[in-house]
Amino acid sequence: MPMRRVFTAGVALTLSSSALAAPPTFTAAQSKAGQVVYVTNCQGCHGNKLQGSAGSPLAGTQFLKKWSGKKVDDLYYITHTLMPLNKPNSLTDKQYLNVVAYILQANGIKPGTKPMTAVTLKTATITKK
Amino acid sequence: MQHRTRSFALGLSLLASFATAQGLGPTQAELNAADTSTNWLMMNKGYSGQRYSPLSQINTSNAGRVQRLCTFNTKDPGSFQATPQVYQGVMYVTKGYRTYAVNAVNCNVIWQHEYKPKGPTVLETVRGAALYNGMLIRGSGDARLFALNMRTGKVMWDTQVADSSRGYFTSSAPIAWNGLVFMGEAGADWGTKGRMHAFNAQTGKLVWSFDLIPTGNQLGANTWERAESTTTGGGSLWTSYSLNPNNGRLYLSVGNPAPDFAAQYRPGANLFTNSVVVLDARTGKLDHYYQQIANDDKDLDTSAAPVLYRINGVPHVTVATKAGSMFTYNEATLKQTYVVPTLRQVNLDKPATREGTRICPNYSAGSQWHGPAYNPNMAALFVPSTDWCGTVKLGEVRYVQGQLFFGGSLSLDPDNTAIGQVVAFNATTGRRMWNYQVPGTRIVAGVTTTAGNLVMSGDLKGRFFILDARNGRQLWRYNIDNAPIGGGVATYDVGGRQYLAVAAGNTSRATTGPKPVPGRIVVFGLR
Repeated sequence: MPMRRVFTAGVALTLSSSALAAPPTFTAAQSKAGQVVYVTNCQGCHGNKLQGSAGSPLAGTQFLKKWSGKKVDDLYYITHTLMPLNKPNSLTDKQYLNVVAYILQANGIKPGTKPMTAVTLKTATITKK
Repeated sequence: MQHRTRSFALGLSLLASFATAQGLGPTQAELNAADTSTNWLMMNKGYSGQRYSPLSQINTSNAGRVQRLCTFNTKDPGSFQATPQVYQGVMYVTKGYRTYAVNAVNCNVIWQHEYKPKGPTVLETVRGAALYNGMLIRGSGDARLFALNMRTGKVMWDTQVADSSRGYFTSSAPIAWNGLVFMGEAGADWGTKGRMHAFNAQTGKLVWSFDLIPTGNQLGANTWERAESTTTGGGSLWTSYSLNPNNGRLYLSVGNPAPDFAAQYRPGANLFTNSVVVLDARTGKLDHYYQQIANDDKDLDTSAAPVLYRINGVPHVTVATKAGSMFTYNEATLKQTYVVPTLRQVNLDKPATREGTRICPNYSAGSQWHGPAYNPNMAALFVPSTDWCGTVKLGEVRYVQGQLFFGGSLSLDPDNTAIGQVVAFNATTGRRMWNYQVPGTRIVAGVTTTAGNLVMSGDLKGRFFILDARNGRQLWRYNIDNAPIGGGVATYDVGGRQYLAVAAGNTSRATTGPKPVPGRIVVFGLR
């Protein structure tokens, strides 16, 4: 019984924070371009289905457990400053934006008409539309 | 009520499982003798971590005739850094969330267990298990410790060690002794704050903990001049541990501080990071420690387990680090005997900068998760290491829970500039005896030495090699399907015949190509 009360409060908090957060924006073209970047630079460690291998999973339950409710800017920061792990910060800003868009789409977030930019990701939160 | 019934049934089932495991070894007596056993009972063979076998059927005169006998293929890529552990003809292998019992002669699978993670996975790397009284006890990518029945593969108990959503996991091969099993926390690169633990080996209940990042009134807390930085201070136990069963001293290699590169964020010596820490295994109380690098800003861990041995009857401990240094300490006087480089060292005394500081070795080089092997007949140490450079840069310090927390970045030189090495040293003096090199790739695999005067290891191109321990001359080399060798070489006896088993197919962070080779155990011997 006490567990149920805690759970209910947790749901309320999640809804509240989701309501305040802006969803991520990106286009299908960005995601498609990001897939090309991913295959070349990320797949070796994170797997051909983003399932994880030497690197952590970038899609599915495991990824969403870690990233739901977090800022897209934090995901971009980690990707940009630390990846690929052997050559961090070696891709262009555009490539990093695209690969983040690809990861988001792989986690069920749908593309739209507005592109992801260095500005829009600052206010966006990782949450399904 | 229904829940209580199920719990009762589960309890009975666990009790039955435990009962069937009782009476099986390895017993405490067998573990005490593991260093000189013809089995391979721990990640580093025995409590001393020497990786030495008294077997000599395969030796310098016939090593060139070794042949591949059988293969057990895990059929998937991923981290594979364990040494096959062998007891009474059965090989126990850990890979990711799976555990296998395999016939050590013909590679047939006896049982297989797949663990379903209960929390987020940080890294699936698991470097082995503790085998103890019919139980196989191991860690997981979601920071748990669980026991399987060695006969059936059924779960006997399952304990949470730490919260993996904050970056903790349990990659070490635990060791067991006198009713306790020892397991520490990994995850410094994710901004964790490490602890070492002992658990009751029969129940999985916590017995004691030791804080690797001291705070408050704890010894060493004053080496964190900015106390707030201790909350993400690092200090991991990545690999395995050593133990002196005669006096109950437990030896730990404690890894890097966090954030990895931003030393200015955590001024002070940052104890007990990059240190060998010696605890009383019964109580978890600190006995003594040796720090190798204070206030590290290059992620050059003390990571591989220390190796324990005696020189002229005097106990010594040696540890090889990612910085490419090998430290030896006299355990009677608690003084350093010598420190020697295992490879080229460039700019290690220069600070990391925003513009970039070129360093050798880089954080994926030096001695990684395997340390020296010790051959008591020769009083010699054989150290796996990689000579490889890179450029470290300071950057923004931003903590995102459960994510890498570097405070900068490190670019690695091209893979083909790495030079893998096995370097032999006189253990008494630290004088270099010989150096076997494989230009163009890394050596991260465990080194094994034997009474047959052999030194065996492998490289990341999949080449398993056997050397003459006396001079480093290559006696034999064999490519295991281009599968990068990240685990160790085990050697053991079944039915009076000596075998070699190699774990290959490691998918390694930062250096794996787009098509990683699946994991496999290959068993070799003389026909």
